[in-house]
Amino acid sequence: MTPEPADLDGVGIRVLAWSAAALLLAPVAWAGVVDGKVALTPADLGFRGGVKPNAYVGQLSGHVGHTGSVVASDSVFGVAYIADLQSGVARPSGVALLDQSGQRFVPRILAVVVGQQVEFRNSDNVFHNVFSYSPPKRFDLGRYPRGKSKTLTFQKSGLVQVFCDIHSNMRADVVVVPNGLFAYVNREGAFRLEGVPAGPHKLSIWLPLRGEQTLDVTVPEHGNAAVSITAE
Amino acid sequence: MMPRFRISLVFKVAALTSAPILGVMVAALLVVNHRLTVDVNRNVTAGLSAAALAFEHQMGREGENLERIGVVVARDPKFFALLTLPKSDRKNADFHATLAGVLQDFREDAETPIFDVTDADGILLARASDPKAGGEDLSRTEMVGAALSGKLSRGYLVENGVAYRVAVVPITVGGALVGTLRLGRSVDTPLAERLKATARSEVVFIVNGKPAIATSRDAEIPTTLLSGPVDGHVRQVQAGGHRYLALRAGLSGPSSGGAVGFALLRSLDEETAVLARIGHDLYITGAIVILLALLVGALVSAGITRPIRRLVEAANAMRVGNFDFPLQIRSRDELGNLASRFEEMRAAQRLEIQRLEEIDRMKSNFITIASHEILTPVTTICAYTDLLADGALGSVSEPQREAFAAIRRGADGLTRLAKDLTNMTLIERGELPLRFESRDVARVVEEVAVQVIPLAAKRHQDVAILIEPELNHARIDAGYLGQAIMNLALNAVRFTPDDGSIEIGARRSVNGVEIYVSDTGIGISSDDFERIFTKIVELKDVNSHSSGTIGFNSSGFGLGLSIARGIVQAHGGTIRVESELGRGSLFTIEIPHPQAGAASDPEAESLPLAS
Repeated sequence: MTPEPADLDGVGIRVLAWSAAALLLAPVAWAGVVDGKVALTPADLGFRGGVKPNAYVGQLSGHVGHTGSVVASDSVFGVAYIADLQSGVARPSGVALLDQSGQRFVPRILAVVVGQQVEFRNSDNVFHNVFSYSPPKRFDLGRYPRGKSKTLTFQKSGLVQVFCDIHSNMRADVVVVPNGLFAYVNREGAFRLEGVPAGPHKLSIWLPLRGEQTLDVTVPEHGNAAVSITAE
Repeated sequence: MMPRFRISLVFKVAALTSAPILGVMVAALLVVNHRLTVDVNRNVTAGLSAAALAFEHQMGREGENLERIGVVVARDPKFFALLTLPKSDRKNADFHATLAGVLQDFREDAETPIFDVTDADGILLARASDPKAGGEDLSRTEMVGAALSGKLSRGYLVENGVAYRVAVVPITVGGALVGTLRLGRSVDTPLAERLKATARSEVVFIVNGKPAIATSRDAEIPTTLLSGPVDGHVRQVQAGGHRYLALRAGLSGPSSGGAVGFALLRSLDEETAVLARIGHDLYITGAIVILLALLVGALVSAGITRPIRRLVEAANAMRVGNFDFPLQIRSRDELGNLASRFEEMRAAQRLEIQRLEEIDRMKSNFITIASHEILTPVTTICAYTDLLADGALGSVSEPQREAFAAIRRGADGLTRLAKDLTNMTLIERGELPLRFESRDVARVVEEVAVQVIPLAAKRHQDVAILIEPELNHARIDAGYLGQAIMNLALNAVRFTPDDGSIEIGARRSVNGVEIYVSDTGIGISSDDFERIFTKIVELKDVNSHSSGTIGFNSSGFGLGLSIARGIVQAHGGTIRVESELGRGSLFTIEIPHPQAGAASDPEAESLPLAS
């Protein structure tokens, strides 16, 4: 099945938000949970396309690659975050890692908070050359060998497409979000945002093929907000 | 006559020998020449068709190269990464500046003037050659449309009258189409020159029906070619006074902006130069073979006809008495057999002739001896008859005296006959004892005339003597030549009736001196002109001339003319006769001048007189 191009207009989005008390005037004293469910199509699940891992990777050194990391990164199919808060419920923001292993970026999808640093590590026996043309962060780290790392700070929110100039099938998406209220969409299409201040918010959901869509969500003072996104 | 026969036979045999060789050779040459012409023409035509295929193939390779470059470029992350940016990120100027820079870099590497990028909808994003370009929808052009559906596509693009070889490749990232890349290189003179080397032809690119790029600098592009059909068929065209094989065809693949085709031209003269060379060689070979054939024919002919020629020469030699001409024929075939028979016949004939010669010699000897033996008793008879007639041996009566006179005339006749026979024999043997001296011919003629006049007078004949004044002396034997003239004169008296007239004369001739005797006698039939000079003894009427005169139409032994001719020929001269029956005869002796005639040659004097 060929992946369908992202077309937000073609996807009917139904937002069902409800609260137990149906109260809209609650102050921001409380925090709630947003549970989301995205109806992932087979295309969404197969966004990595037909890119096959390089058959020769690791053969020179006997190094098989970071299988565990790969598996972990393969369970991420999108990023959901609260878009209307510049800061707020902050998570501890250490240095995020974007490894290059087995001629793949690991993870394939990485979400970082504005101002957070990302370490681009090369764990392969070959040179890599990480670069991006994306407006939020244009960079070209140049070539460097195994074991070396370069670290960048992402100051603007938005999508940063990351490529390797040497290996055309390597691709990563760094979603720079404005705050720590974000969650990965898993294989089932589910995500959970915790600690979201009660009240109305803009909820953005980014999927590799569909891009970003934003919808309104109201978080109750008590209880959960449930969001369901389907593709018709 | 004989040389013609000989050449004729040689020629016939030579012709028969050479003709088959010549015929086969000429036929072979014609066939080979024809086959070569047909083959070369076919090959030349096929060669141009093959050149067109090679040309198309090369143009296909150019397209493939562009495709390959395009695929490499499209796979380059730094190239396609821009096209993966979401639309929201493409709106700012930064994106376009970045794109323009990236395109410029890649175009420099790709070395293609045409370097166009469209997005996934076929909208032109940027042209490396024109920073302002963009926004144009190319999705409807065939090649971009094909690339948008994921296919590689190559063809031609015409812009501003310039044709470009173009390839369009889809740009896919992670299996998704993000745009197309169109690469193109101009169809230019260097390309045409490369293709010229490949196709071994002058190359003309025709864009929208007009010649755009051509390798042929001096030759005009034939208009018939431009107006002719674009069918890839080889045809002959004329241009600039030269003949060309030409072919016009379109280029396969889609073309946008105009039609692109090409024409190939080959100089027919150059293509067929090899034919001319081979033809030239064939002609030389043919000429050599013909000469060899003629030579062989001549040699064979000479070999075959040599024995025949030898036989002919031997036969001719026999005619002049040479029986020893060497045949030198050793072949064991029919000719050898013929030569053996010829030798046998020649030997037999030689024996026969020797035998006849022996008989003739015996006859001559007999006559010589007989004449001598006759003269001895006749001399005795004459002497005693004279004594008796003179009365020295006693008185003689008148009847006795007349009888003695008759005896004496008979004895004189015998003496003359014996001398004639002796002379005849000497003439036949070529042993006439001539003593040549320079003598006045007029005197000789006069002396003869003086002796003839009394004889003629007895017959009442007129004798005229006409001697041209100042005749040259001639080297002659006056005695014998006088006898020859006397013989003619006596004949004239004898065969001229009484009261007839006789003329004896001498005059200059072209070669010497002519002495003639004419009469008004009975004449000689022209049938007998030759016969009268032979030594046939004609005993028509042995008249013993009782009257003491030469009787009219009387015949002796008839040796006079033979002896006269023998004497004249011994002088290197000739004797001839003109006559008419009943009207008279004219005998003419011609003695050539010593310096002009054979008589001056001592050798000639002893030549055999046999004719």
